[in-house]
Amino acid sequence: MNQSFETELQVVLRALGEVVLPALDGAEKHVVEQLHLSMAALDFMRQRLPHAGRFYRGELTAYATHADAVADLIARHGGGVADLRAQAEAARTLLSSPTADWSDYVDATRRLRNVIACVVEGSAGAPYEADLDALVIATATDLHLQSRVWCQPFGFELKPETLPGATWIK
Amino acid sequence: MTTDIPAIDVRRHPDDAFVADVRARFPVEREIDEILTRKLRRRREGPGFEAVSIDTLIAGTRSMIEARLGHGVEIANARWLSGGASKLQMVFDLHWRGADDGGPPTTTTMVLRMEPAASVTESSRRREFEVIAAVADILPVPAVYWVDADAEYLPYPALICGFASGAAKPSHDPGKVTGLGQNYGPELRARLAPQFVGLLAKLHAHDITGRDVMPSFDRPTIGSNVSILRQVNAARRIWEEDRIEDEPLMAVVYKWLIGNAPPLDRLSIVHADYRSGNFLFDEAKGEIAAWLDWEGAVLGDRHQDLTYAALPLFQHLGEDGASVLASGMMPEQDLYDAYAAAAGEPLDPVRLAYFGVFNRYLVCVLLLAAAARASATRGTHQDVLLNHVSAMGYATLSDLSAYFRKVTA
Repeated sequence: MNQSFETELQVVLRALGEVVLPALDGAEKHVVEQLHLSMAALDFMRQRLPHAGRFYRGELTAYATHADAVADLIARHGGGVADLRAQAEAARTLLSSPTADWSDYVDATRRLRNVIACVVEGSAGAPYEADLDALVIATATDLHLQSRVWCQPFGFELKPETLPGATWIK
Repeated sequence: MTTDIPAIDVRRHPDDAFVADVRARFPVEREIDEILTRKLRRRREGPGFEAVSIDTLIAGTRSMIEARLGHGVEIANARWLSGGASKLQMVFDLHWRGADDGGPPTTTTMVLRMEPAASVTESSRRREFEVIAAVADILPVPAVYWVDADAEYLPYPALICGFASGAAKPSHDPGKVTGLGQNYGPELRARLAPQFVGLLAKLHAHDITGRDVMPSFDRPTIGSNVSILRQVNAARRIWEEDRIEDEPLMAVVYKWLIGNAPPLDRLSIVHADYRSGNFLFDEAKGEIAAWLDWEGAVLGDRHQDLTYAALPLFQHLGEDGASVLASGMMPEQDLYDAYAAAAGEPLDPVRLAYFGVFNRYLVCVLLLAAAARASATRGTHQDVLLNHVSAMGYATLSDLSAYFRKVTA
């Protein structure tokens, strides 16, 4: 199969950048802006599609580990953790499945994010509230940094050289 | 506590139970409740945003003006006006004889600002109209003429204001999206910065106590934090209604914002989007010509605007490669010092810290929830722009995390 995603996106980007964009000289500003933004979106896909499986797998692994840590903390205080344990176990089952697709990883990660956020919201006044909040804040740092690295092709970072390396690129 | 994610995304298809639940859990101002509820119903019942022809806008605009004036008018030279990430805008010339039709024939250039089906900032045209009218005597703002708050004449709610001339971006750096990270350059910056600070102090000092203005705004009570809590809940409600995925840190910060909201010590009109990119200027004179984008304005605490203008999202590095310029104007502490000098009173560090957290939380909501949802649901005329800016949300989340740790250490 000759038609790789990378080649498809590459040819479209060349056509838009080298043929369509110059032809829009004098067009309304918002038209040119939307073309630039469309090209940025396509270039993001070109750079990230080859890594999507590993990125989303890494994200799911990180949230499953986070859910375990949250469950352990609450369990030490005698709190209920059935939902957390079930979602973390489902994530591990998915990670061990050879037929899982990265869209499955995305769905499972969203379930974990949801269950952890619900536990945090429901912890107001609980004896473990402060420890749980601290755990979430401490864990968030690395997770958010990897999300920023993932979005780096958009060019928003003031000091991109300060970002860590991508954990999904081996 | 429910943690199941239903097979159908309830936020994409919000049913009555979902709408009733968010309204009950997150109490907000009356008008804000109306527009957020309207947003959900529009999302559920459709139609999604469809391109609107300029002829449709001309016809609706003429109908609205003629209904308001009670006599006929002529609209000419209508064309699209670019700029901004949220509103669809048309500029046109109105040939008329004034409001009473008794004056000499005159031509006034005006702008129609109409919201699309969804937006990064779901807001009220009624409130936007009222606040601009309330500050027209003290700040350079476009004149406001008429509002179609409930979309009687146009496809979506809209207002008509005067055309304000001026540039939003300097000629040497025209490429920034909606003014984010806008660099005005040292010469222009030196002239704009004192006005940027001075006009903000003037806005906040504008006393509307006892005046019959801004009726769509719930009046806060001095000494109470209820108005602040309503704002926090408005942001939280948007997060609940629009997010694509949840984020545990947002739950932590929301609890803190509710538990630490300061009582209001003085009532100010708060622009709530006071930053680089939201004003027009005369580049040759170095003068601010008009403040724009009043749609998110609230009655509240002056520290909210200051910490918003200083958000990292609107910063850039100075020419020395080391100093970071808030809203492209000056370093953050210099901004606070200049404001305190202009206002004639010191700032409260506790409130600065609180609203520093609040604004970071709000921006995360707008980028990771509102912008992402609006583009995913094909809700605007600029989906590609909203999708683009939503990717900034992770940097803002990272900033929220770091800033929150510093404030709560």
